[in-house]
Amino acid sequence: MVKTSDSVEPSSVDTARIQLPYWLAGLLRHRLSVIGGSFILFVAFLAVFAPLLTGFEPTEVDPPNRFLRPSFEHLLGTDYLGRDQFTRLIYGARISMVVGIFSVVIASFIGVPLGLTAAHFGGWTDSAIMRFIDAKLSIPGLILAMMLLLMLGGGVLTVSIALGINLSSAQARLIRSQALSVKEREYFHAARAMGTSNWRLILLHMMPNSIQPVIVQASLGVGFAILGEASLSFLGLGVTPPTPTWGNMLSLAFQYMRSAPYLLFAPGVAILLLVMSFSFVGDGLRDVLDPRLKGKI
Amino acid sequence: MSMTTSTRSVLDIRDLQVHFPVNRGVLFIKNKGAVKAVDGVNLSIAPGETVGLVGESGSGKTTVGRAIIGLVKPTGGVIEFEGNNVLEMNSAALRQFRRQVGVVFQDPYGSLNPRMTAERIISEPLVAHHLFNSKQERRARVQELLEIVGLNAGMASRYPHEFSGGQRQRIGIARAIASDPTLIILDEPVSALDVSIQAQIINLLDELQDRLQIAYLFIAHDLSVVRHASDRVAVMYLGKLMEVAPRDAVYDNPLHPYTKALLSAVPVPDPEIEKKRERTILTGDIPSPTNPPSGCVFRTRCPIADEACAESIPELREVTPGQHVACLKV
Repeated sequence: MVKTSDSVEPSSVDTARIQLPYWLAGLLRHRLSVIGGSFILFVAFLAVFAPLLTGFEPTEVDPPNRFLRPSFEHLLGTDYLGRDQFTRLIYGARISMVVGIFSVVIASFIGVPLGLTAAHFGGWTDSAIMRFIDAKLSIPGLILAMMLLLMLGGGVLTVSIALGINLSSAQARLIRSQALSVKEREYFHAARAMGTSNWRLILLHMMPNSIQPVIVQASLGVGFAILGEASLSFLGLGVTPPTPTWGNMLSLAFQYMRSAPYLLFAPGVAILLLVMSFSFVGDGLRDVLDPRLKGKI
Repeated sequence: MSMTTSTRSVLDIRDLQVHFPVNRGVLFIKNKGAVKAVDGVNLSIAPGETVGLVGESGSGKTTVGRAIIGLVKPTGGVIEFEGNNVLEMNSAALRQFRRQVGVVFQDPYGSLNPRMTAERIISEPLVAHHLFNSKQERRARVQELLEIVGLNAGMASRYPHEFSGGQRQRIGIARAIASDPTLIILDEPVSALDVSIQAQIINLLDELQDRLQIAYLFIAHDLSVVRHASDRVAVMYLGKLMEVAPRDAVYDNPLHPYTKALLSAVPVPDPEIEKKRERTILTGDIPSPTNPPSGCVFRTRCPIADEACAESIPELREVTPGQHVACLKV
């Protein structure tokens, strides 16, 4: 509780405005989070300003210049159709970032209401929801995503939905277990005793006090989703080919591994670094938000 | 059984039972009896009256409070609020009942939502019961309430962690009186506070009672705290009432051996009297409510119990005017 005193603005009424400085300050003291966060911002910058940072189009074919080695003109070389690898990488970052974040948002929008409903109503409702989630967990994630993609077709939105459904189970279980402990707190009893509606109980008492681990899990989940998108694209099921993604770049490079091994390097390292960055930030958030670790960071 | 001469009581509890089933086993769940947390309690509270409910931990006093406000479901008996049985109310009547009954909990740290400002905490019952519907009216009411409980109206935008324990308990009290209740359940409202602050909070509760004519059910494990605040005192042991009497009768002329024992556990501030007085000291622990003793539940620790106590269950009966005792030996 020592750390919170500097972040308090007595005049402000908004919760978010008060908490932001506190955990942001904590994150900024967490070295790995700063490294991870900077890399994420860097990738986001490349993705947003991609058209300004390169003179090529990501789908611009130039057959005479295929399999060029990295040079000043083509920073990371060209692929089997003569497309500039660097251009494709930064355009591909758009897909990875969007899919990564979108999947987690979808996962939270599915998982959080399910988990809160299960925890609040308990009994039969709880059993039904949780057994459904357990059943879903028994199907391997990638296979479930593949099934969905075969039914819905590839694309940024469908990939995000498929990965989001996968990640939603973890979110649901996580928030349910937190919410169950909130349910035993006296402020929750007090609210119930004064006749507060279920709706308000869940939204105002249960959710704000059990959401923290979900936020941590979400930032870790972005990394999983990026990896998932890459795996699906690698298998040819993700975003449809002319659009560059890190996954399908890797998949193509894999076919020419002997003649142009350098093509594997860029998308592979990009995926590795971005996934790592998100998990660093996730770890940092967990440390900062965990009240038991407060003051130790 | 009527405890008071007044026929119109705010709250009338008759033969209240709260039994929690004890189940064992994983797949083949067996019912292994019940924990009789509350077992046949009769108690009534008159308008504007304070009834102290005391007993050691495990006596069921908190469960009585929780049963009244609907946090645990009684397994038997009647809870009548202003003549209507709470346990059979429809949802509209139940809303009305909840508006008229406030509650203050023991833990000033746990009973306020850490993510809400004082203003939102106090206005919660107003929102739940659609009172003071415009934002300005509600804000004005919250500021009025803050001042009533001795806090500064400017503190409305602060969060619970910015208040001290005593201040938080004042916020809890402001929340409890916000919807103009006729009864407040005080569940050990001062047990978690420093002694100096305990007195302030008890004085505040007294003052509010005079001003707003609220009846209190004051639950505590400490007889000395209850003494100052209560009109009548009910002593509970292992789910049953042992003695119910006007305050002075309990403190000056306790009749039940358990009440005597509890009183002798309260130190007397005068060392001369302390040395001379006769003390009844209880040995052992309160027996398990899963398997309570036969006959009188107190007999295993009672200094005057004999064979008869194991055989019949003593009923509460009026021994001196207003003083009800459940003991065969009195």
